[in-house]
Amino acid sequence: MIIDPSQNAAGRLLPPDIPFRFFGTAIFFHILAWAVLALNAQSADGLSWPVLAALHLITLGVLAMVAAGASFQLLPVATKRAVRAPVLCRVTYWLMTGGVALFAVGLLFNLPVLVAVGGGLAALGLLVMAILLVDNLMGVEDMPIVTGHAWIAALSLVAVEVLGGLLAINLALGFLDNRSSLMLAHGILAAFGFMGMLAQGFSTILLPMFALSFAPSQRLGKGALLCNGLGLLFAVTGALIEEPSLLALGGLLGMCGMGILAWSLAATYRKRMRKRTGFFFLPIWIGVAAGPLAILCGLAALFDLFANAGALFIWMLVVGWLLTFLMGVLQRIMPFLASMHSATPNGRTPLLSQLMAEGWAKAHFALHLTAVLCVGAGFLFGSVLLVRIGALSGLAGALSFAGYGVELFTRVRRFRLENA
Amino acid sequence: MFTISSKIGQLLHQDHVQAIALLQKLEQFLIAQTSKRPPDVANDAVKALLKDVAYIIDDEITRHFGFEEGHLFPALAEAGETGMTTFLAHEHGMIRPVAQELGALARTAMQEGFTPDSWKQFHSLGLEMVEREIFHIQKEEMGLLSAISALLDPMTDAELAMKFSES
Repeated sequence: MIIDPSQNAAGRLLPPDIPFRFFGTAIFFHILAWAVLALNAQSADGLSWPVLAALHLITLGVLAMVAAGASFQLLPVATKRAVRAPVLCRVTYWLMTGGVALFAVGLLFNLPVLVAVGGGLAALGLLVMAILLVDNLMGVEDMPIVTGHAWIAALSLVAVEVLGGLLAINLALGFLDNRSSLMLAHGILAAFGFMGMLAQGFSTILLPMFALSFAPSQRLGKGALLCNGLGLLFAVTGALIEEPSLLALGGLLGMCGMGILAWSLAATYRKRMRKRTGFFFLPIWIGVAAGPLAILCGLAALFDLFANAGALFIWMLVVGWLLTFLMGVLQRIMPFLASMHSATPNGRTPLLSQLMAEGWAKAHFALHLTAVLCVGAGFLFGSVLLVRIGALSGLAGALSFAGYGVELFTRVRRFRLENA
Repeated sequence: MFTISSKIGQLLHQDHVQAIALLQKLEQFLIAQTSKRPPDVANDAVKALLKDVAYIIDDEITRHFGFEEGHLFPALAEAGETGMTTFLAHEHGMIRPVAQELGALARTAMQEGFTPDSWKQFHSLGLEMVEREIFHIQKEEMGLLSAISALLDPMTDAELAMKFSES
């Protein structure tokens, strides 16, 4: 019997080009982001335009791209509802890819109009993504922890769009007098509201699936969801009205939410059926642990406890937490999906171990971790050299990750040829 | 994954837990032994493991898969879920011959011991079996058990649980 992958799981498994186009492009932007950062390293607060370009290559080009590919594929599995219009996933991809590229080039070469156009296109892409997410979540009542976090992420995404759009247009027209509060609210909504909520929500289905264990406690999950939701609301309001105590309260609640969820995931992991989980959980756990640490840096920045705390906060938030966690997840779900899509005409599918080039993945993790620590130390001690060394290590790590992706693709191809 | 509310889901899950425990024991043994060093089948621990492989991996997997294909998948198809069950049945088709060959090798080894060649074959097939079956169980625990909870009514659930216990 020949299996048509597009019919698998009642159409809930999307055609492979959809998730993999997002993943492949994220891998490309990942390399570009580190290269831009290595060339334009700085060690003090106040982001230069090229560093802002590197930051958005990571947030929009890597994090949002992986989140889009993964959520288009995984949310329908969790909600048991197929994506209504796969063509809109491809529309999202083209809008985001074109938008991110123009946005980054505009920032790198100081071209405000390009920044505005690129930002607008990326915003439009994210809006289509938000519509698809909301459409898939409508009417889903079970799995409240995943869907609750996904709802907050979708709503945050819309708010990020509005604020990001305003900021991008302001770069061209300059109509805002004070944009720092908007920038802070935009950053909190993007990192904690959109990416953070998606990462936390999906971790409650992905981690138990990878380790073969039960879902984390619903009671703890609901507690975490409440803390995360309220924390986000307080933090964004605090940023907009420039009230540090409200921002701090939001941060503390967010830390509680992350802590509760991490605790329940660790409890679930300890009771897993699959004891030998290998190296692949290490980046995921380090990412999970870096989340609360990022908030601590944010609180330090809020009360001006040490120099460059703001830069360290952004670094730990975007790279230490979200990038570490998402790349860990990506290196696990890419072979998982590739294997499900690789059935040959004679009905064979490759083993996961045949597809995963663990050496590349380990090299990426070691270099990425070195980058996180070196750049973080560079901010702490005000050393541009340390930041640059870290960024170069990150670049080597990103190239290693690309090696992992290319090797995966090569192995799938070889398997298909050998079993044609 | 989620909390299992159906009776048949709980029974299938128990089977999965047993299978994973044995597969992990087999995996640990195969990795420690390496493909170059055939084990001594007179050793009690080796004998017990081979017996488990011959019985559980072959017979139990055949029983478990047979029940799913003969009773559960048709019930889910009637409730509208066909894509996932087709995919899982296809995976059964890939795992079954590996399990049968591994079971046959284990039975022969219990009588005659391993030659370097038969051990190499057992080692390679054993690791393939561990990986394919655990990956398959991951999908069943993630997709099949939640589909059972969502799609089957309590009466069908009870009937299927009875049939599974009798199989």
